[in-house]
Amino acid sequence: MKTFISLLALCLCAAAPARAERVVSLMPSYTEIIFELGAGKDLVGVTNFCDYPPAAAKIEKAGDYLRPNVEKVYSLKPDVVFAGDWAGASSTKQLALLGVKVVSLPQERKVSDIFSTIRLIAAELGRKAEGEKLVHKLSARLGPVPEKPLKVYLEEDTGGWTTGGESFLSDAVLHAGGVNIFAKEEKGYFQAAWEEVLLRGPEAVILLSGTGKEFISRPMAGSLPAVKNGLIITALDRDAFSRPGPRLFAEIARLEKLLHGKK
Amino acid sequence: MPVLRASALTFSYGPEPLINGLGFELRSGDFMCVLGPNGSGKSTLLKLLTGYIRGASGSVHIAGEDVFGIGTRELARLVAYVPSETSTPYDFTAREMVLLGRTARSGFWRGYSAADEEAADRAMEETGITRFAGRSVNSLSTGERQLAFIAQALAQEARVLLMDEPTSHLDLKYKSAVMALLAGLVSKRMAVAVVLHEPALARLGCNKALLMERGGGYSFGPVPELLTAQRLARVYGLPENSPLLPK
Amino acid sequence: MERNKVLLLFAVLAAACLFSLAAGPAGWSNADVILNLRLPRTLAALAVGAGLGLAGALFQGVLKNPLSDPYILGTSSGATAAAVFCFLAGIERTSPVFFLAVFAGAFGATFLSYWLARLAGRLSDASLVLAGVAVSAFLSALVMLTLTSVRERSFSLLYFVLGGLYSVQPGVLIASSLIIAAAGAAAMLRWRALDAMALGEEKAYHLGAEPGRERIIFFALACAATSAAVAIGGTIGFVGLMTPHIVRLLTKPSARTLIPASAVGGAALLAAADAAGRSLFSPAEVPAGVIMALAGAPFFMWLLWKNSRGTA
Repeated sequence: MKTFISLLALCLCAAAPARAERVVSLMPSYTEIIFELGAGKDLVGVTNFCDYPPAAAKIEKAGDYLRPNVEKVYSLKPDVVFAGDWAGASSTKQLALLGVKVVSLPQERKVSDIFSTIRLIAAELGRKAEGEKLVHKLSARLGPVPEKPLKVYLEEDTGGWTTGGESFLSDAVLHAGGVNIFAKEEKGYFQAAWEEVLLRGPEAVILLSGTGKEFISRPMAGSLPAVKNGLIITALDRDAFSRPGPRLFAEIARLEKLLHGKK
Repeated sequence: MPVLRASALTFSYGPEPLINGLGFELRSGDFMCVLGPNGSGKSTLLKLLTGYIRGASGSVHIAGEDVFGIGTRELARLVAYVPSETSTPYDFTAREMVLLGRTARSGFWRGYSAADEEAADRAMEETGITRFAGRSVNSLSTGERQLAFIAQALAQEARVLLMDEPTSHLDLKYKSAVMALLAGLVSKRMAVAVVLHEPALARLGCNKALLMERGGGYSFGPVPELLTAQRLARVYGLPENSPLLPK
Repeated sequence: MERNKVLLLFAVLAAACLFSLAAGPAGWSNADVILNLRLPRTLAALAVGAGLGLAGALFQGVLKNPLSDPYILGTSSGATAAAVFCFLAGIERTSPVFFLAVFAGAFGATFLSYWLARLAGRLSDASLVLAGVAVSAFLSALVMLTLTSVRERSFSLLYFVLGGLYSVQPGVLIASSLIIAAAGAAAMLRWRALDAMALGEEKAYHLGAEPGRERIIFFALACAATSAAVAIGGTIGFVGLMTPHIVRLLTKPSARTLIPASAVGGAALLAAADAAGRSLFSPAEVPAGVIMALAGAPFFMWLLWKNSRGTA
């Protein structure tokens, strides 16, 4: 009898039109965007790093964004998978071969690229109106860029790991009224020589990891204008600032206040 | 007092004994050859004699003291041992190699003393290797290298010299030279025990013989008594009229 | 060692120091930068290089194996794994507990490699390298596994594992330098035993050096030097392997000259590698460990080739 009921249920499900979408997101920022679009309940798989909003943590995990677990993703029977076109190209190819629809989204190099990402995801989920609303809301938060930008050194990881002009982080700093001292470098994430940092004399320092105490203890750190200005910023939310998602805009506003609020 | 005495030595790698209740005595001035077929435990015996390995039972006394009661440094001053082949990946010169024979006679941290240098030079002269003192041991021929290691053992100025097949890779000229060298040492009151492959070489100065058989049997005695064609033929498993055996 | 060879060795060291002090984007006329920035970093490179060069010379001698060094034997991996666990446990880098733990990790890993090689057969052949590779790989995997499961700080710990001299704490530098100097001095007191061990354990025993005891002593000294180096700069490979071989081309193989010359040579080698890493790719910096691997891996292949021809 039990078997009969479950069989019946199975038939009913199969017969029902596939309206309810099953979505897999392979990037923490996509997960946040999908929730913002109100489609969080459609998510059946996310990456191990997807921990925001809290509801995302309860969704089935399908590996990390560089190496998604192809079998896991396939077994979730998604209607659509969102993946970054720069990460895990071979696994997205494998998924495509298995007949899974994969939408590869371009990497964001400017803050405004996040709007394109939102629009592409919204279109795919049939939520264009919600997408436009979100883009409108977020772009309204980007105020006019302050006139006198400060030279900023942005350290993502302790040990001089910073970013060049290839990353949206440089643009984010710009919107907050700063200029990344390595903005002209055609690089993404890289380790900068400490001597080079000293030479470029940043007026403010943003640390996304580590402590201000450690930073100040580095050789000759005391000679930096940033230290003299007291602008060693550790208050940013690492995840919110370093993911090209909706939360970035609030962090940019916070950073702007931290950089220029004391005037 | 015998300078080297082995009594009731027993050793085995597996269930069958390799050496079984073996005993002998050497005095200063004795020159003993150790003969026997492959696998009769000749090389193992030498390592038992210096305490490098430990037998199941029996004892070895050197200058009256149990070998396991003697410290490694003290032991190296009493007994020198030359394995059948020594190799090192590093290019020590022949002279440096000979000087290493002085390890147990000089303080660990300081350099070599004048006495060490003298002993090394003397050993090189006795073995006739002075002319390639500055060459790397790895560039020497097998025979020359063997002589360098014999010189190293001489530099130890020990009372007992144990050698494992020192002549196996050498041509006839080197073979007789090595045997003559050992006979010379014996005349200077050293006790020498040498593992040989060819019974004929025993005639070049040996006065004692230790004949080892597969399965643990052995006999020990003066050379003329022990190294008869009859006895050797039995031990090596050869016909008595074999041209390989001494007449 | 002849006097002109000593002079040559120190000339190389001086040149490496000069390069390390002069190289950098700020040029070579800024006294502040040279004194406050490059000098501490140069000192760190010298200490780490000396420690690793010393450890390499000791391992190659005591094991009679020219392919051994702290990186290949798993000594560095053991020290690094212990260091990572200390960081996660919140133990300060300057505390004695940290140094003890790192030393224990180094010593344990080394003996494990040695024991595995013993099981496999002779020590002088490739089995020691194989055992070391197995131990290293296992420990590295353990560290990676740990780093994936703890998200906080995992990147900065990962960079520590990869090796480099970006940040040097003066307290660690001083403590490590003292340990390395003490290990070097203790090794010099026993140079004669190390030479005996270079002829193999059986020969060493018959020359008057107790192999079991010498092995423990020299393993301990090499592990102390390695763990002090790891405490400063993480896992940096190939310094210990290359230095004694380069030095032997210049000096006698005897430990009496090899031990101090390897320490000096290793110091020069790493100072030059670190200076190259932070100046050639400006504004980016390439960790000294990467530079050493770039140079060291081909060197290792050359050594294997040379050994296989029996001319080492």
